[in-house]
Amino acid sequence: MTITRLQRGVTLADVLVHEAGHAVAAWDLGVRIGAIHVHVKVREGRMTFASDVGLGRFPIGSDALRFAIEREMVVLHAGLVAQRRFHYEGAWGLVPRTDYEGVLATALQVETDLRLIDEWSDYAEERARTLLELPQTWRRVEALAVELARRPVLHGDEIEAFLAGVRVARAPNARLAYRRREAKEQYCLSHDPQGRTPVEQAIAQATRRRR
Amino acid sequence: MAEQVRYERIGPPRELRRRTRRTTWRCRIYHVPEERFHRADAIHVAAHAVVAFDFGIPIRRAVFDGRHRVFEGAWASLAYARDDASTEARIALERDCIAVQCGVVGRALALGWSHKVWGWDDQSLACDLMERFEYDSGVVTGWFNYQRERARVLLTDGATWTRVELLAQRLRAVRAMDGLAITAFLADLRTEATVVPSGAAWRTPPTPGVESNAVLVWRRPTLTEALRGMDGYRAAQQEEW
Repeated sequence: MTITRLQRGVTLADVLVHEAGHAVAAWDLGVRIGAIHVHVKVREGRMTFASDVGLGRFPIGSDALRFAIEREMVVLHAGLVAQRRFHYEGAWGLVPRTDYEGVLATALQVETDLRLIDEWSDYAEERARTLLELPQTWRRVEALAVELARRPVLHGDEIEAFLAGVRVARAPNARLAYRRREAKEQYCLSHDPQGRTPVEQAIAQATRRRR
Repeated sequence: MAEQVRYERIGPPRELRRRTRRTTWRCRIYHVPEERFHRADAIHVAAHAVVAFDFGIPIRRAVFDGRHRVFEGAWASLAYARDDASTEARIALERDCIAVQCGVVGRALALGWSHKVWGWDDQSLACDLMERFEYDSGVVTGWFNYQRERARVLLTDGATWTRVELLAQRLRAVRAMDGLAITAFLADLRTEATVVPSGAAWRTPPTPGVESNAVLVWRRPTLTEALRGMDGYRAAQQEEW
């Protein structure tokens, strides 16, 4: 999965959040992370993971294979979803070709009907969105993005250790949150576009220190 | 790998879950089908039964009885207890939902309509079932559309559609079949010919999205369109040819 600066609106922070989104989704879903490489100067990033589907670990036609494909599709979508949540204007019109090609290639392992693949991809994208909207997950994405500004190359073990060590708030009571309208809105719609400023500042600070 | 944190599963409060206590699903046509739609309505019921059979879901009965106005398919769900959030439970539930969706999709295929029809009771049952796992409306919609497309792909397969047509004919003749009779009928079925749905109603939707009322609306490009341009399906078909 790579993302390059395809348009003027994409900042370094966007690239870092994009890669962090992939990594956190993979970590959360139990997909083994390979590494993240970020080229800070050219604002370009790449995250790799060990694809159980690509390695042929599941029998063809099995439910396990279909489920693994779905999981990897969620991971592939998570980058742009995180980037869009972080900086919507910067992601407008952006097509992460390698991610989408990965989704298509993965889905083609079991399905050939393109309309079905399109709907499946939409569904996986929605699942990625709900996963990243969880406050705990989003906190990890932000923390990993800042860490990537400090250390542009992180290997799988380092990422897993880092994410396990991030201190997150206790998960709120979802049932209570669902019942109380204000709490629900606080829980589901807690994203504030201005919330990215501290993250951007931390990334800028980390980048300056590296220099 | 580091130990992962498992969050409490998000879900609606229990009282919002309606039909989800049941373990037997019954897809019933509540209106009285018109005579001219009898074939399509029989296919609706037969499609439930055939796809449930293919998924290994035990069928209870399929009824197409115009005299007593009962038109339904019923099966014992393989879905797990409602608080079970395991992978197996999710797969079982998805299969149930696909079997539910097959009725409407099969009927639309028989009539040559678009399979994206809505407002049927079966679809609300599918949504109720999905509430077990997802409460986010975006995810539910995405999952629903995916299930519907899977139902279409399953039914447009020649072997499946032939069995659906034959079971529908049989059902119209005998009016009611129990699970054993359906299983025996489908297991013993041997045909030399294959029937495929006409599919005349399906064509590449024009882009940007033009609805039937000719109001121009913007919609996000799909995955295929994003990769192959806005004429994604056609480009893919040309590549195949």
